[in-house]
Amino acid sequence: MRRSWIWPAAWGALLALSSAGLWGYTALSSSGAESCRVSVCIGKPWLAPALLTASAAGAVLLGCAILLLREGRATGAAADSPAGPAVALTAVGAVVAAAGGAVGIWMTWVGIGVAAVGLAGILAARRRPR
Amino acid sequence: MTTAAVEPRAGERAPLGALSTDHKAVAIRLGWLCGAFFLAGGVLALLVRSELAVPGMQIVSHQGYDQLFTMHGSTMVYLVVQPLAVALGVYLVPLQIGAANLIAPRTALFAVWILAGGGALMYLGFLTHDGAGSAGWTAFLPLSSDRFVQGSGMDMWIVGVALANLAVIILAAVVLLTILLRRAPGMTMLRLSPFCWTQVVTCLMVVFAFPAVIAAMGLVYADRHFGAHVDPIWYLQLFWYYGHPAVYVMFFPFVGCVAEVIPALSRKRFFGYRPFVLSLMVFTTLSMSVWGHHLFTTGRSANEYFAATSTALAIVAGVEYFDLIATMWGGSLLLRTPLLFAVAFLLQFLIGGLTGVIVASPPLDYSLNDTYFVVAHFHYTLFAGSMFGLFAGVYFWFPKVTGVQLREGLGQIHFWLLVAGTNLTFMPMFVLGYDGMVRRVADYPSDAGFTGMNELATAGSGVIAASMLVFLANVAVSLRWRRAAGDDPWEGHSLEWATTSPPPPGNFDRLPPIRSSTPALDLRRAGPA
Repeated sequence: MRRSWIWPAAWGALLALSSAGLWGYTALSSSGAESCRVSVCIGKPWLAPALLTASAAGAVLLGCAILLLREGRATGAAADSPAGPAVALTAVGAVVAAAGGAVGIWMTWVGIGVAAVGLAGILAARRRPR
Repeated sequence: MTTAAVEPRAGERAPLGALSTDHKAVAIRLGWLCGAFFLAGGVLALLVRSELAVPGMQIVSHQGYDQLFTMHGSTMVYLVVQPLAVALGVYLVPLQIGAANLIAPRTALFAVWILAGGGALMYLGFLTHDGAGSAGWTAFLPLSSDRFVQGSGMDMWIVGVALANLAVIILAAVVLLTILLRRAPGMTMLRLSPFCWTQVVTCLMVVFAFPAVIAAMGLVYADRHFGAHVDPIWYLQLFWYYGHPAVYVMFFPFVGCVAEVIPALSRKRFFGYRPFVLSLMVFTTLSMSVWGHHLFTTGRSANEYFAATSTALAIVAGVEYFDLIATMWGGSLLLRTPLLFAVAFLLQFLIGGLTGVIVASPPLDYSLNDTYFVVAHFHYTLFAGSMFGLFAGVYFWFPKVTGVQLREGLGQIHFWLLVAGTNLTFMPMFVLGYDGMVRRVADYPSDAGFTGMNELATAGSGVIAASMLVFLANVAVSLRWRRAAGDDPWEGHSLEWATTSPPPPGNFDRLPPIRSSTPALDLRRAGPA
């Protein structure tokens, strides 16, 4: 039986342990909106432990997801796909669309159009018999 | 000898072209892309060092200098070392776990193009009226707001950084899921190669820490375009929540390279495999828990907690060093170029690691923060560490990837030049920082006593550039006048050495039995069937 789900879950548990330490430290030295101790005031004291807790939860959830997924065979996957050009076109479209955020909205629309053509190509390649 | 059959599908013998989704082609393309960015980032570094060689402004303006060091740091972190760290996994992981390809090869190909586009966008900023991004690779707020950095070049930098990191997240997720879900029969998690284990922990960190930098870029964008007036502490927390794990993302895969090179070229099995795996798990947990030390001097961080976790890193790092040294101990060392780079990696990174303990102490960090001491520290970890580990891997696996050996003589010249150049460049920076020279300045007073050390550092950067030219010449000569390497020139231990060099599409015609973390070594010791 394969137990690869244990490893991300265990890593998440270790992160949870670390975040518990940070929550504890923050709670002990916290008073209201700011946590002041010696000469240091921690701004938004919940933010740092919350970030770590989110990662811990994510890793545990990944472990659970792996547990639910059936591990596949190592063999038999196609080493190459005819969808390569369409994938590249989709990525170029995505980059152009994102660049619109810096250059102008018109570029975002151009990028979306290019990405749509690429996606259509990927779908066509998937439906093509091999 | 029993072997398990691998069944490549009919019609699978596609060439490794520019748009191929074979993991080897994807990784090689990624390698070339990062190599091109490395050359660009290196030229920027030479310009920075040339400007700093002597007091006064000789080459660029102050604004131009800001763009140079920003783009140098951004290129090396976002476009070179981070993606290279995962690119190694894209090439080697399927081979080492006995898989025919990645679990999602098209997604990996998509990520490579996203990375290329993101990098191009960052560099296109140089063509805009106000130039490229110039707020440092960290783009701290409020420095990166439109009050201090105007123009669309900075916006292009923000979008480019977000895209580059998105690409690395996608690649890491694909590599991680491939390891977790696509291992060959017999390849349990505790039979993974040390390199694969470093990829597991690296990818976990990428997947669970790197989204923070995309959020941070979103904050800068919102501040610049929507008047969000983001609290700088929010930005600092988010950025460094990504930024410090990123340092280890740029370290562990190269530890993995060294952990493959040392046993093979010491003719010994890896010492302390299980403690190594455990230390990786704990090390990466701590790596995720130290980011607050970047906020020591803000007076807004849990200093005691982050000082404790940062200092504790030395313990788990010690376990890994012990394993690697003990593997060499009593071995029959084959002192070829990969092993030279591996040993130098241990020594050079040690300087970076030990000076890290110094800046992990808040009272010392108050004094050294934002000085050249920090610049020297992180270049010893990121350049002297990562690059030496990377080159150990490049010399080790070049025969596997291409079927030919790199020239040993040129390799040794490359190695010794790089050792000399690295220490000549970065060791004087410790002195400069200790003497109070602050980072991110284009000029310094002529009577400050900084000139001599800056001249040394600039000379060293020239030596590094020369070493890279030797490496490029080695690659060109070796590929032009090919000397066949054979399938297993180093008598390697992990599974990739049990297939042809270069491997065929589908990777294996037949898989050997997998009964340990060293299946290729087991196969060789079992003898011919």
